[in-house]
Amino acid sequence: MSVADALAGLGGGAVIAVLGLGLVLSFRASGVVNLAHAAVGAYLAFAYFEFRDSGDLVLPILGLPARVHLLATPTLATAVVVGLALAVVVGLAIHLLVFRPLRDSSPIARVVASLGLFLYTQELVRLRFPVAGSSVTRRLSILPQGPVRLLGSAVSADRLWLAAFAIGGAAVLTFVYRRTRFGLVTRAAASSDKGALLTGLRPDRAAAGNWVLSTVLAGVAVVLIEPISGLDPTTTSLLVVPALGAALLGGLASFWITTGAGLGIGIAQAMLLGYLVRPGTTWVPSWLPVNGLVQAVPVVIILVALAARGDVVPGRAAVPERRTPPSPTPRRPWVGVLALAGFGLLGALTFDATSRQAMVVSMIASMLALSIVVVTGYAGQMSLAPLAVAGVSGFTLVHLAGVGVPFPVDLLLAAVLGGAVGVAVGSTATRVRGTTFAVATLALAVALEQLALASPSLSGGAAGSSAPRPQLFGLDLGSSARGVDDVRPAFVITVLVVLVMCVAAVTNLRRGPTGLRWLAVRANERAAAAAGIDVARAKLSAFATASVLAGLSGGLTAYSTSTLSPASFMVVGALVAVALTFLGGVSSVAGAIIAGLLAQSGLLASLGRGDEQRTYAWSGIALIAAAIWAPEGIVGLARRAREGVRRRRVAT
Amino acid sequence: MGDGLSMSHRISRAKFSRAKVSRAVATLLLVSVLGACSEERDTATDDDSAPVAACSPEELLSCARESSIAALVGDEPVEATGEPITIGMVNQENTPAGSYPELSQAAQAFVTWFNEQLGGVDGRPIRLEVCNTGFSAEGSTACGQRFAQAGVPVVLGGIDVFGNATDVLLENEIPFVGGIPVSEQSMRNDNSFQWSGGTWGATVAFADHAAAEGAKRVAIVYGDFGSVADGAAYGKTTLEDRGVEVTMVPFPIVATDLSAPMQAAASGQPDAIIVLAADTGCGAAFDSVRTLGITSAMYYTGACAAPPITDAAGDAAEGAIFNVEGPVQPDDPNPDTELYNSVLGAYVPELDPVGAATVAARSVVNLYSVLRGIGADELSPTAIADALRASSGASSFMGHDYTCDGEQLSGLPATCAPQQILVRMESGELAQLGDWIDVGAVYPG
Repeated sequence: MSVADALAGLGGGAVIAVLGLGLVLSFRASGVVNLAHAAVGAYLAFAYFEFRDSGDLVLPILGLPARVHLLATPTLATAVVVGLALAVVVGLAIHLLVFRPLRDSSPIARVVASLGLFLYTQELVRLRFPVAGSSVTRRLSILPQGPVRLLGSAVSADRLWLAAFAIGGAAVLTFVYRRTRFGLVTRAAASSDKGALLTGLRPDRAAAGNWVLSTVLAGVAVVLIEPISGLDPTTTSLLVVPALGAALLGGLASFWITTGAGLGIGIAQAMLLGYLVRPGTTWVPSWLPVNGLVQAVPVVIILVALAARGDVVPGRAAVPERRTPPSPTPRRPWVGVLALAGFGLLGALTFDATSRQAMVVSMIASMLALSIVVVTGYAGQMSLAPLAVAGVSGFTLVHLAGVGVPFPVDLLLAAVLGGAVGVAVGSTATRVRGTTFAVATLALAVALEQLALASPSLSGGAAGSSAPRPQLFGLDLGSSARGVDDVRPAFVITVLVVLVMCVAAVTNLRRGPTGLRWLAVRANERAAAAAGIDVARAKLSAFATASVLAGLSGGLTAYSTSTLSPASFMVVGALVAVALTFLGGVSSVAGAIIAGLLAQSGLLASLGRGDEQRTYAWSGIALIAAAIWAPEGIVGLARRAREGVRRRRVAT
Repeated sequence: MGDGLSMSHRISRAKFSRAKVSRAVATLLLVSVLGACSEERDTATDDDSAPVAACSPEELLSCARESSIAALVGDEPVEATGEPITIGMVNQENTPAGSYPELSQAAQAFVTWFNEQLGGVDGRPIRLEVCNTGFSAEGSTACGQRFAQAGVPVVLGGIDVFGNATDVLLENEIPFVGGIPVSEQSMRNDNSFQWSGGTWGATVAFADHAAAEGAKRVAIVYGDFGSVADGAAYGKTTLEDRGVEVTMVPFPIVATDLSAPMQAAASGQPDAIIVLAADTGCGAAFDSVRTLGITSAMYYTGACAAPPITDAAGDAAEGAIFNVEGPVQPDDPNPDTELYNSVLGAYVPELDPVGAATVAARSVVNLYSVLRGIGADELSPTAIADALRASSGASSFMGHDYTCDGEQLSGLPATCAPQQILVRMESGELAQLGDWIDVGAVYPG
């Protein structure tokens, strides 16, 4: 490890630092960990470059005209002015339309809304800038280029400038928050909205100001990092993940620590890479992917920070966590279970192969959604790791089945291992809750993805690996066969049986004392503890149950597909799974079934012929709307409609 | 390392048309597609304008008579009117992880032309049914099963990162042909037939050249994903077989700041560095070469030779070596390329002909030649697979002649034409380094 290695990581670290600063700002504004921060920055950067090139202002609302021609000969100055004005408008719109209505909502609803914003913005960029991602489109670099000698090693000038920008930004923001009235109001509101209001301050205005600042910073940051990180709807949007690590280390409050952490992560990664690829480094086992180890650096840092500091995200004491989605006790649970079994059996025997395939996808997705219902809907902890757990179980099943462990023992063992991993994830994060827990599980999911799922020895690498066909008492239950018998009904029924058992088990748990303990913990941990509930144990039981369910979904995925690929379990998929479950109804079993139907390549997708071009954009809008108006999802809307009809009947 | 330039065709860098196929996950695509892109340099007039169609829509037949498919062209246009023959195509479109409609659009343009002017297959029109994987393994499986259920005789490749469709088709004995081999299944299944060497071909060609130039230490900097990592391993095997010490430096496939991996590679002071990156990472690699003052011989996949990238790189690109899959003939326009531009100009004028569309065209035209050779009455999955397996030195549209005997590149039975050509940037111009490299012959595996 040398100075040259460290300097090589300066650029990557600076990117993390400047994006981390924006995350801290948006959290100070509304208590939101804004997953869409980098995606919004990507839109603003694309819009800025487009205006600079053509004089067109690209509008961010799908459905309206794509662009307005403002100037025939745009200059750098006009582009900067228009870009900043656009960022101000977008920042205000995000505050007023998305997060202001959610200020009294649960942290989960706010994270879901930011996820909706992420999906919408990413799709917006893809649709509005169809050549997006083409790095061969040369853009005028704003920062000076060329090599600079520092401590005897060379580094590119733009890296130094960007690092200086991050440090300067931290200094300015620290000054603003410590020395100005705006900063005072923000800090007061962060501690207590009502308290700030009572002392004559205007926390809402401060929140709007913070959102504008955060959005402007997002746009400026992405424009500045473009020569280093490129500009692409997907990759730029996902830069938010390492930035979250830095922001978390800064407690989502300290600009200095966030900047230092960002630079430190980049430098540590570069030094580790330099060390790992050196010929003399032989102690690292071959099954551990070098790239995975390097990418795991931010995760390790996050976990160390969590272990040392506990709940690093400051609580907003004045914000009561109202509007937690109701989770009524099912009155006639067996009716639902039997109906699911009946419809499933009918579909397995009458659908064509294409619909049977979609049905399998939906049922497996429902199982994953059930795990989210348990841990998030019932126990109130937002875990973003279920898909990674499913992946671990899926590849475990491949290995077990490969050495001759028969079905269904292999499936059960894989699910149990998934449960163990889930408990490990949960216990790592028992000291944290809410948003912090969500980010911690996201980091752990990245670690599992990079270290376990990406390991060619464990998963077969990107090429994936195959599971043998399941058999039971000589019966072939395999997914596919030759010709028109593909996705054989026997396999569909196998998946159906597992799903029905899972639904019955979860329903039963929800109705029993375990479910009540989960709901008590969700409602108020202190009250639950005061009532004699072992909160940590209740949480761990929820993680274990949820992870077994996720493990079953992963195991069945291995059986359902010809080749199981790590790409099936990427973190983005976990975000989408959480989003769909929230949309279906995160606090009920029926919501999980609906989420499965809504899944990509699922039953509804195979039956419907929607506007495929804008599916993700509409999903994003639907998520934001659900977070604001219907946190209990489609199931809750149906319940409310049914109760309304009943009330009208009684009235008449 | 010495020059090694045995045959030097100099072409203007300004004529090297640009690739427009860069999206985050598409590194794999870019590694393999560049060869096809490079063929466009013959007709491109400058960096920003699309190639000009050599023939008007009315002149397509006469244009085709000059091309490698002249034998399929009649005296007059013949429209196919019989019962359609449906063939499938698997592609990735309309997903946030990347969308490549240009492949299916180019394939459809040629199919339309075959039906309107070449009489389809014995008077029966071809119907191209495109299935979108939606960038998921499940979607890919569903595509394979959909075509298996439909009983199509053959499925054309587009881009399918997951490759599950290939498995399903193999199980149903339906051949999977052409497209961009971005999944390992598409190269390893013995019922798949590919007309590109992909990352594997490029890396073996680089390794062969570096070893021949006397390199003792080589670093391979590669995107850590699927076929790119596997292709890098092929390069490592080739180098180690020649006694060369190899350092493998992976980086995340979506990374665009390559300072750290390039520094890690350069710290061992290698004689040569092979960079397997998408065009999103090319500029960063060139930047690192300049900043770190790297003097090793540099090898890049052809996607990095796009003029906007090399122009921006300036001196850092000087001496860099790239792979392509078509000969450089600046003074002798390729008739296949002229036909390609003309067909797209006639049927999908809005489509930029530069980039991945060229691979789709090569695939659909080669497949059409096979279908015509078999005839409509005898068409079946087995007949198509047998015809391809029997091919030996068959003419490939815009590519090297192909032989699908499963032995063109060890371990990759699907490869029919893995041959590569290397070009070097010299004084702002690309110069061809020797003739085709038969990577199958130089790979020791």
